[in-house]
Amino acid sequence: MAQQLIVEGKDAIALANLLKKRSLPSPLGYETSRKFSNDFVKQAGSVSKVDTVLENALLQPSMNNIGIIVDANNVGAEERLNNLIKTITKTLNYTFQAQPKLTSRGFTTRILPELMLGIWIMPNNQDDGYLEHFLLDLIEKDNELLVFAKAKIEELIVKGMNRFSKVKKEKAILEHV
Amino acid sequence: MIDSLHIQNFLTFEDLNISNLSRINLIGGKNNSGKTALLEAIRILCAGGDFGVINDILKNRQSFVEGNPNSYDALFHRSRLVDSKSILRLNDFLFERNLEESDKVESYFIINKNSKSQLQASQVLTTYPRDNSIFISFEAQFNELNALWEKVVLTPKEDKVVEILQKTVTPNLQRIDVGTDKVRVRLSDVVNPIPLGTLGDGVQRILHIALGLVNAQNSMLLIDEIELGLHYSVLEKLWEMIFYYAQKWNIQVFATTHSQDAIKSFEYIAAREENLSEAQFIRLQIGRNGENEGIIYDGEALSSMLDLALEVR
Repeated sequence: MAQQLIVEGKDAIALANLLKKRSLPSPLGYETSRKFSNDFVKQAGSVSKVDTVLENALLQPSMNNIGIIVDANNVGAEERLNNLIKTITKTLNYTFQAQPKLTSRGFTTRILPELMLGIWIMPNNQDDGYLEHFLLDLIEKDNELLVFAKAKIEELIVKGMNRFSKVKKEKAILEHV
Repeated sequence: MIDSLHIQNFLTFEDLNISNLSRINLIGGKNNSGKTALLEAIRILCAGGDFGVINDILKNRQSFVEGNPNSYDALFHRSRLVDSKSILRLNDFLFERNLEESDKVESYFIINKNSKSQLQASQVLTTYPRDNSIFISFEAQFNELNALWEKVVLTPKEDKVVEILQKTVTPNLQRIDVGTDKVRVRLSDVVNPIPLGTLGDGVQRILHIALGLVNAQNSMLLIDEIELGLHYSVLEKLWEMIFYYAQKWNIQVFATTHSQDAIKSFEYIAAREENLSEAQFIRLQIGRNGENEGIIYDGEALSSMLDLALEVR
């Protein structure tokens, strides 16, 4: 049985370290960190490439568990889901019985006896935003470093000294936390 | 050129349909996915169902017993070999197995092309299979190399063979002499002729492929496990030669591989402007529905797969 987690961006190593830190086991068959970051987590780069990676995973009959994590950005969680569903429908020539819907826990379904699928849209399967919004939520609000970083990043923006786009403010904050 | 392939009940394939074939086709897939079987199907097709070729294929698979009609059972896909009459199909060729008169090869195994002609097996030997394609197996024999050499020796194509070797693996090669049991070469920086074997297996492999290429004009070149014995940098130069001559001499190429290097170097050459639309990668597999599939990646699709470090084999 093969499994794959398709992630927009380059978060494989971070994910591997997170599992380690939390003493969570690696997925079966992907125990070494190289295998985890090369084979288990497929880094799709930009969202436009997620389709290619997903199509490839669907076309591999040995792939039984496929997870997908993408950012809603300002496109919206529902539309992101619908685009992924289109790729699945087209590649597998498969029709969903009911229109797939996101819940706060994402969308998971068994679409074939041998194929389980999970889709999670960052930050919370509902709002616009991206992975860093989700990660910021995990940090306690009164965390000293977070409060400091937020203030300094705001200050940079106010003074017009920011070298990052304002939309990516959360990424900039997390860089310093 | 063969544009499409429909194979039923043949070796690994219960039913395989590939609707688009390119000039140059690189074939991947796991062990027992049918890569060699696909080359063999094309060999039989090109030879018009010649029994010398069929017998040679069975012989390579250690399934041929001369004079024993049951040998031919090995050609059929196991799950379909149940009735007294079984049909095997390769495009418009139909092979019929008739168990009711199983003591005679000619009635046991009948070939029909559009139901017009009927060929008989009788006592065909495998020594000189009448191939119309060039098949280079992964355990190529010296006599096969020798036979290809005989067709080009003292012709301009002999020079092309030298040129292909110079451009791929031995830049200092001057001349080749293929004898009855060995190949000798003259190198520009060595006074006496030296045995080709001393230059390594890879050079002999390139010589065989080069001979295949110059002999395959207006026909097919089939290469099983193209990467055998070859360094990745040589593979790229070899693809360059294959793409060039395949287009120049109207050759359709089918090569199989297990190697990521072979695929990567293939993609580099396929992505050149003059080669776009001339090449594709095909992965053979049993799909999620349990059926034979040939997943096709054209040049562009293959590039994006490799860019994303995705597995295509």
